[in-house]
Amino acid sequence: MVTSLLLAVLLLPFLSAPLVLALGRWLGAKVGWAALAAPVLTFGACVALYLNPDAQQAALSWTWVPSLGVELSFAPDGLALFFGLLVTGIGTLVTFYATHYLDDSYEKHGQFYCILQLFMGAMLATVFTSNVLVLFTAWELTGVVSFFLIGFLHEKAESRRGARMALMTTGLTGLVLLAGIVLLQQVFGTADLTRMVGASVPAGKEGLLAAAFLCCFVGISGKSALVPFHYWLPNAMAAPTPVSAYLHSATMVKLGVFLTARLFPVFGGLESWTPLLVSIGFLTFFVGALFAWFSYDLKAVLAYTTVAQLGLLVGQYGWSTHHGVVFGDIAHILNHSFYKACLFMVVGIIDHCTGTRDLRQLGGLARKMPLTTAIAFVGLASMAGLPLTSGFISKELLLEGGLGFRDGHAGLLGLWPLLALVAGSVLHVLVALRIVKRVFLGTAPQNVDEHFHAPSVGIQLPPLVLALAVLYFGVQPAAFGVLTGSFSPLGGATPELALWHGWTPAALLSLGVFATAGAVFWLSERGRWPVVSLPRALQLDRAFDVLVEAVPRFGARLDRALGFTHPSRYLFIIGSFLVIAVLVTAFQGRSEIAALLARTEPLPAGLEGWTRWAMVLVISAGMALSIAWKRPMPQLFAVSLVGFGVAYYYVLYRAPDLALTQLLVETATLLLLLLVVLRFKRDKAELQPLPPEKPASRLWRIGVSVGVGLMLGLGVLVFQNDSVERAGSFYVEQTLPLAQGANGVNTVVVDFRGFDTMLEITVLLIAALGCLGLLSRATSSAPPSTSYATVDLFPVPRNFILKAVVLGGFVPLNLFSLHIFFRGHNAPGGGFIAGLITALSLLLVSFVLGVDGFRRGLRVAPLLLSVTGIFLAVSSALLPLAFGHSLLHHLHVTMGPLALGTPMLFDAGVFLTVVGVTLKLVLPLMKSVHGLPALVREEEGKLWPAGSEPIDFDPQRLPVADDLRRDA
Amino acid sequence: MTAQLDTAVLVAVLTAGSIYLCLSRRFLRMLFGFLLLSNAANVAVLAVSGDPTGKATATVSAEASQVAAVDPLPQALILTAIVIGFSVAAYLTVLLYRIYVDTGAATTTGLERDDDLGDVGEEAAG
Repeated sequence: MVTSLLLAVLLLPFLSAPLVLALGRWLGAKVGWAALAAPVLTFGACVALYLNPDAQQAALSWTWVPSLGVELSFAPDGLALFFGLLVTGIGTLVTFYATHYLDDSYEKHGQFYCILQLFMGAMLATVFTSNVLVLFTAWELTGVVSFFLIGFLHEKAESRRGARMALMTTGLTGLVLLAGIVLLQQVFGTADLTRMVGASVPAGKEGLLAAAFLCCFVGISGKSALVPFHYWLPNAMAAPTPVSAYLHSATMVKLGVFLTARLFPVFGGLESWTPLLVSIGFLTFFVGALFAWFSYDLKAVLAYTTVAQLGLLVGQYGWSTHHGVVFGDIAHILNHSFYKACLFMVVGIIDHCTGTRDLRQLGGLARKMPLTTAIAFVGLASMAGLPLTSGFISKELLLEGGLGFRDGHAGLLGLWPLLALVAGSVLHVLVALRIVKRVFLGTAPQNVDEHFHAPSVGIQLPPLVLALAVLYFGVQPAAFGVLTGSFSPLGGATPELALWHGWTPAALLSLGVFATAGAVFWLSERGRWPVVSLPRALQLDRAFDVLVEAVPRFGARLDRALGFTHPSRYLFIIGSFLVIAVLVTAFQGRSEIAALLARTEPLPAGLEGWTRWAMVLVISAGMALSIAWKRPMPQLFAVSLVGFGVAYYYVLYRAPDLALTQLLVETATLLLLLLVVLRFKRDKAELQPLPPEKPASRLWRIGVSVGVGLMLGLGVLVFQNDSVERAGSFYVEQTLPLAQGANGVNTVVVDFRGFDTMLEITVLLIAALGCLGLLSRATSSAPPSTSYATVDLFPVPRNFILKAVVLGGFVPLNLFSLHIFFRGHNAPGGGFIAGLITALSLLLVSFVLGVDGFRRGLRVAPLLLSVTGIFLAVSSALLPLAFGHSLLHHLHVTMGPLALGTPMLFDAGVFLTVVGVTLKLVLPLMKSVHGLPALVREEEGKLWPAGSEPIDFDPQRLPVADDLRRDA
Repeated sequence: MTAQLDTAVLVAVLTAGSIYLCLSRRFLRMLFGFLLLSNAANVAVLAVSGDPTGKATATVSAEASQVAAVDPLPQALILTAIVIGFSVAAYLTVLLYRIYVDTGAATTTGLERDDDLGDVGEEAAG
C-alpha cells in the first residue's frame, strides 16, 4: 500500500505531462483544468503517506548501475514528506492560479502545464530519493526544466537572458556539487544516504569530508541564490508569474535548504559547518533585504526578499550542532512558502489588472480590489513578522535562536547573526510598509484608473487559501508547532509555541524592530522617493553577462589571431600532421613492415580476387573522373559510380546487408545532392569565379591527399591479422540459439548491440531537426522581392505514363519493403533497408504528385513518424525491465515455428525513424521558391513566431563582379 | 598470408581523392569529397573483417555448414556508419545550402568577403 502510494507520487506527474501536452492542442486554454488532476492526486497520495504511521519505514529500490553504486532508491521520511506535501500542495494552487492567469494571449498552454508538471515530478524525485547520485540527477533535471519555464516567453530578450543566467549559474554550481557528492561517496564508500547517516567517518578522511562539504555548499549556494550567486534570482523574474510563485518562492530555490537539511546529519559535526553557514547565510539575509529596499519593481522586491529569506533559512542550520537540529527549520520553511507564494500571486493579480508592476506608478488599489488588498496585507504582515501571523511565530523563534547562539558563541561569529537578523528584519518591515503605502493606500494615478479591470474570484482563491493558512497558524501556534514537529524524526522535544511568552528579550527585540522601522519609514516618506539604486559594482549579474560573453569573444579573437580564413586550412594542417607522424612511425618500424609486405601475395587468387581488382579499377576510375570533371552534373554521375561500385564491392566481401544499405543510402544522398545541384545551376552559382590556384597550393593539396591516402592504405595492410581470435565468431555461433535469427549482421545490429542502434536513430533524428532549424530560421537579409517569378524546381509532370508507373509501382515496392523487413532477422534485410525502400518510394510519389499534394495525402508529419519510431525503439528496450531482465534483453514468444520478439519491435522503430527522417530531409528542398515558406509554416505551424520568415534565396545577393556593378 | 592488397589500394585511392576534393574551394566539390571520404572509411573498416575469399556470408543455417562465415561485427558497425554518414552528409548539404542562401557565395573565397558573418551567431544568441 505504502509502496504503491510512493510510486504514484513519483510517477503521476511524469505520466500526466505528455497527456497534458497532447490535450493542450485540443483544449487550448482550458487544459489547465485537466492539468489539475496530477497535482491534486499527488497531493492526496502525499497526505495519505503522511497519515500512515508505517510510511516512514517503507522504501523503494531498484538497482541501476551497481558498479557505480547508483540505485533508484526512494524513502518517504519526514523531511521528504514535508517537501512532497509542500511541492504538491503549492503546485495545485499554482496550477489553479495559472488557469485564471494565463489568458488567451499565451499560445502554448499545453506546453506550459506539461513543463510545470515535469518540474513537479523532478522536484518530487529529488526530495524522495535516498541515493545521492540520483538526487544529483534529479537536481540537475529541475534546473533544466526550470530553464524552459523561465524562458517560456522566449520571444522576449529578458526571458532568454534570465533563463540562461539561471541555468548556467545553477548548472556550474551543480558541477561543484557533483564533485562534493563524489567526494562524499569516496569517504563513506556508499552512495546511500541512509547508510551514510549512521556511519562514522573513517579515519584519515576528515579532510575529504570537509572538502566535500565545501563543494556541496557551493552547489547549495548556487541553487538557493546565496551571496555571491544571488544575482540570478531577480533576473529569473522574467518568467510568467505562476512560474515565479512556484519555482522561485516555494519550491526550486528551497532545494538548497532541503539539501542542507538532508546532509546535516552527515556534515553537522564539521568545524567549518557553523562559520560558513552562519556568515554567508546571514550576509545574504542582510544584502537581500537591502536590495529589496532599493528596488521598485514589485517582482524584484519579492525576489530580493526571497533571496534574503533563503539566506536566513540556510543560516539558521548553522546554529545547529551535531546533537540535533534547532527546532523550527520546518516552521520557517513552511511560513516562507505560504506568504511568499501568496505575495507573488497577488503581484500577478496586480499586474494582470493594472498592467504595471512598478511601485512608483501604482496606488490606491485598496478601494479597487478590497479582497486582494486584504490578502496582500496578511502576506505582508507575515513578511514583516507582525503578530497574529505565522511570520511572527517564525521570527520569534529566529530571534530566540539568535540570542541563544550569541550566548553560546563569543565574538563576532556569535554577534553577526543577531545583528544581521535585526537589521534585515527592519528592512523587511520597511519594504512591507512601503508596499502598503505606495500600492494600496492613497489615490490611484490616472493610467491605473484607466486600464483597471477587477480581478475574478477564481484568481484570488489560491492566495486567499494561503493567507488563511498564514492567519490560522498565526493564531494557533500550538497547532503550527505540532504540525511542523511531526515531520522531523530527529530533533528534540517540541518546544511550546505560544503567542506570548512574556517580556522575553526576543519580544523586546521585535518591538524594537517595529519601532525602528516605523521611525525610519516616517522619515523616508517625508522626503521625495529615494533615488538610490543599486550601485553598479554590486550588480553581479552584469559581471556574469560579461563573463559569459567573454568566452565566444575570446574564441573569435583567437580565430582572427590565427589568421585562417579558409576552413580548408585546418584540414591541411591536420592532414600534414598525420602524414608526418605516420611517416616517422613507419620509418621507425620499417623492418617489420618490410617483413609483412614480403609475405603478402600481390597476385589475386582465383576469379574472386580478379573480380575485386576489377571493381577497384572501376571505382578508381569513378574517383578520377569526379576530380577531373568540373561541372556538377557529370561529377554527380562520377560520384554515383563510386558509390554503387562500393556497393558491389560489399557484395564481393560477403556483406549483402551492407550492399543493400549502401545502394539505398546512395540513392537518397544523390537525390538530395541533385536538388541542391539543381538550385545552384538555376542560379548559376557553380560558375562563380575563383581566383586561380597557385601551383604551390595545388602541389601541397596533392601531397597531403596522397599522403593521407597512402597512410590509410598502408594502415589497412599493416593492421590485418588473421591469427587473432575474433569477437565476431561469438556472434556467428550464438546468433541462432540466443537471438533466434539466422542473419548474423542483423542480430548484431538489432539485438546484441541494440544500444548503439538506438543511439544511431537518435542521431538521425537530431540531424533532421538540425536541418529543420537551418531551413526555417529567420534570415538576416531582406525577404525575396515579389517580382521574382514562381518557378517550381520540379514542376508536377503531366506525363501519364510516369504517373502510372510510379503510383502503380508504389504498392508492390512497399510490399517488397515489408517482405525485406520481416525477413531481415534470417536473411539479408532489416529495418534500415526496408525503411529506406519505403522512404524512396514515398519520395517518388511526391515527385509525381507535387510536394503539396503529397503532404496532403500523407496526412502525418514526417517528424511525428520519426518520434514514434524512436519511442517504439526505446520502449522495446525498456520492456524487458518489467520482466526482471536488464535493458534491451530480447524477449521472445514462440508460436509454432515462429519466434516473435522485442527485436522486431525495435526494428519497427528503426523503420519508422528512417522513413520519417529521410522524408524530412529531402522534401523541404523540393519545393519552389515561394512554396518553401508555406511548406515550412504548415508543417511547423505555431512553433515559429509569425515574425521570422523562413529562408530562401534572394537573387539580389548574387555576387556580381565589381565592374559590372559599377555599370549597373 | 594473403593480404587484401586490393582493399588497401581501394582505400588509398578513395581517401586520396576525397581529401583532395575536400580541400577544394567550391562547396559542391567539398560536399562530394565528404561523401567519398565516408565511403573510404567504411571500406577501411570492412578490411578489418579479413579476407573473404572462400568464406560464406554471416547468415547461418540450422544445420552445420562446412564453410566458415565471414566476421559480422565490422559489417554491423559499417551499417551504422553508413546511415549516420548519410544523416551527417544531409546536414552538411543543408548547411552549405543555407550558407549559400545567406551570403550568395558558393565558394570559400566568396565567404571571406563577408566579414560580418561573425554577427550571425550573436544575433541568434541575443
